[in-house]
Amino acid sequence: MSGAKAGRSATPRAGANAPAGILALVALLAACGTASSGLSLSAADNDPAKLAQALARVRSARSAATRALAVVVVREDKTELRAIDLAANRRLWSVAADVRSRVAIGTTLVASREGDDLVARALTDGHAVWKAPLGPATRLIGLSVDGDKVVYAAEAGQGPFLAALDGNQVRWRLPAPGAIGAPEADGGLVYLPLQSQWLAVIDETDGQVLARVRRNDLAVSGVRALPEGPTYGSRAVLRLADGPTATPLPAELPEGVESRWFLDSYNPVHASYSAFDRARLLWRPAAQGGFAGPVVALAFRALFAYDPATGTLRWARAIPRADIVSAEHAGTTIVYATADGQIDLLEPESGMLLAEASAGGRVVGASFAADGFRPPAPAGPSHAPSTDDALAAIARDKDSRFAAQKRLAVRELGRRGNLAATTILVALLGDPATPAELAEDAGAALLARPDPTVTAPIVAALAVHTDRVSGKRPRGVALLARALAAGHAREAVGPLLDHLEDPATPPPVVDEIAAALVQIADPSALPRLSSILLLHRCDPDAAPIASAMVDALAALGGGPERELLAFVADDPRTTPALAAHAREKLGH
Amino acid sequence: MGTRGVWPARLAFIVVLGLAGRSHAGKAPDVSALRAQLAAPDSGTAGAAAAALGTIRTPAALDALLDALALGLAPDVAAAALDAVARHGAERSLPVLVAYAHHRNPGVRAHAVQALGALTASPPAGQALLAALGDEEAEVRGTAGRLLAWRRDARAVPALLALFASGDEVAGPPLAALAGADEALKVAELAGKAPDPLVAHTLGRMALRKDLGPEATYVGIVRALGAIPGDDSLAELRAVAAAAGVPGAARKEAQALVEERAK
Repeated sequence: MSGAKAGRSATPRAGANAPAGILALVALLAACGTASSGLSLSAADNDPAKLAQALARVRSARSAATRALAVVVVREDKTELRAIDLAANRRLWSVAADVRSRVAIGTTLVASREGDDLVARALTDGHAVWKAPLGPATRLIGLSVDGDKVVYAAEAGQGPFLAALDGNQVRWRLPAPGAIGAPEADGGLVYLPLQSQWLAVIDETDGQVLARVRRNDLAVSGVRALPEGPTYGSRAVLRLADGPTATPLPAELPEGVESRWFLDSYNPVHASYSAFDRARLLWRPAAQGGFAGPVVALAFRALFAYDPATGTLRWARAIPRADIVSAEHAGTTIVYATADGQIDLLEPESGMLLAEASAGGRVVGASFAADGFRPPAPAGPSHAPSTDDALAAIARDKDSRFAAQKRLAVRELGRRGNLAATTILVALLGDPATPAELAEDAGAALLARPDPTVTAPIVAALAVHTDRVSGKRPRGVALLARALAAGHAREAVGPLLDHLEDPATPPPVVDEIAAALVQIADPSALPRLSSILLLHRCDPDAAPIASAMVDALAALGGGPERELLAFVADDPRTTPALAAHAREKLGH
Repeated sequence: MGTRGVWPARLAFIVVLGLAGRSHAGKAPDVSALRAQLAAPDSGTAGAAAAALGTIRTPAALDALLDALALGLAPDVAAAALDAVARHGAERSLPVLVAYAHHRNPGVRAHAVQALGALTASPPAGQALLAALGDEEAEVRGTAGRLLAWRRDARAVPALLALFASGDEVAGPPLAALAGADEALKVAELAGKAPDPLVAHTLGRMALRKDLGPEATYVGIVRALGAIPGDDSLAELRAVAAAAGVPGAARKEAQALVEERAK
């Protein structure tokens, strides 16, 4: 291994007055091809000037040429690495490779862990350009490629370390005093999350730590180096250029959307593609201020795009075929690969499908290099999905794993409150296949925006009654009643009374319907309410029903109804409890 | 649900409170007395009065029953009153009967359905009977099915077939009585899906009918019976083999199947 040169310059705390033992250790580390630890916990933090100086050194190493490339890990009988030209939907190459990590795409090569080696392959044809042995005992934490320089974090017997390679030769190696996350290398700098609290900015050339940011208010679990500038954070996004005390980029996301802005780069699971890739946020920062365009919540087979300023849903998309296994916000597109090998590029602002490609097999993970690539919008009818239809498809997904996104979809349908959304919610509520919890949510969503102009589907749903012949059973009648009451839907009075008169309607639902009728306050309900009371007033088993009628008549009725209640209260055949209840309502 | 509950309860209420004698003035005094007894808190007295009013075929007696039902009665008294109304067989009792066909008490509902069956010339009553086939309570469904079979109302067959297919035992007898040749073969096809005893008894009853059409239908039923394992189908086969009214080929087939089972 080479790298002694880099070790020379990365010894900020090894001074002339250092004890002989420490100097000996430094010498030993240097001899091993490592830099001494510039990651020491006692180094200075949060120096704005140092940070600004460090960021000023960023070289614009990005290729001017726009690429549209996906490198996918395909697992059929064997594991293969494939490069797909997204612009042409063309497979560039496919090679057998025992890929055991994420894949990092550079300018001319692609790097990953294969078996116990780090392997760089040529982007032109996939042949192995070089291999650097890691050894079976080394756990790869993460890797990044800047140009064609590979930087990786790993943990071996001596603890965690960060290393940079020139080809397969170690240029420098920096031991860490504690846990480190996956690095990001870009423009000649390496950004390294450290001990969940720090972000170190390191010179990619020699491993010298140029600046460090320490956050006490927010865990530092991940970092992204983007053309807009480096960002870091965990439950919020911080722009590094805003200084050590940067405030989070403002984002309003609705309840139910998890703030997974970054993958937890300390988690060993994230060294390779995992389920965490399937449920996270896709975003890009604006050059200044907050986010550029919508923040997209990825949830396995669903995409929800939110305006980060308001939390309003901009669009949604359901992916019916298979889970999204990898996705990236590439600025001009949102690109994702599904487990069944589909690769789609969406327009971030609208969710419109711009282009498709195929990996040609079962995909376990993918990395993309498509920044700035924007395929032309397809000719013909809009490829933008109907948000209502997408939300309906998400909510109706039969896969029981996706309860969270189904609930999210149902809530969004409630917020939309239009006729289509209401129809979908009512259908969900009445569908026996809808899980009880989701049906509850659908009912609550119906109440979210009670709108008298969209009650028709709710009223229509009341036509379903228990019928042993057809096997039908009404669902959610109580919730429908509440929604209709909130909308003061007089057209619902008849159908609601039909359910009151249906002996299969359970007493708690009778209570809800009676309360709804009171809220709607249509006196045309009074004769049938009176009939139900009279028919059941002498039956102790029907006391809850009769009692609900007493309540409704007392609340809704006038003189004749008070007369009726007086009769019920006084007639000796009325069950004693009901008579007492009627007297109470009459104030006797 | 069109006619459900749309009946003049409030009017009835006012009538009984203030004008109880309005349409009964000058009627036989025993009706007035029975009307009063029907309002007694004691169920025995009220039930006996209801039964008595059923035997008096006058409008006043029916008024007394309908008024009492409209004002509400204890379930056992209501059942007696509904039976009494059935004896009158009067179309004007339809609204009250339809309302009681949706009473919370299944026993009361069954009596209401029974009374609806007495309105033989009433299409709405027939519709109410068909609707009662969907009731959750077997007692109510069974009553409706029996009455529809008695009325020879073939409109009930699809619903009865659906109930039968779901294993509803109360569907068997009316289906056996109403099914045509095609439906009989559909029942035969449900062997192995619906419970064996239910299919066996239903096919057995069908085989004993004289109006199922060609002999081949009977033979088909017998063969379906023969394919059903167990004692129930064997008993039905024996009954068919012994029945004089069954076409000869079917009887022979039944006899052969009985003998085969004996081996």
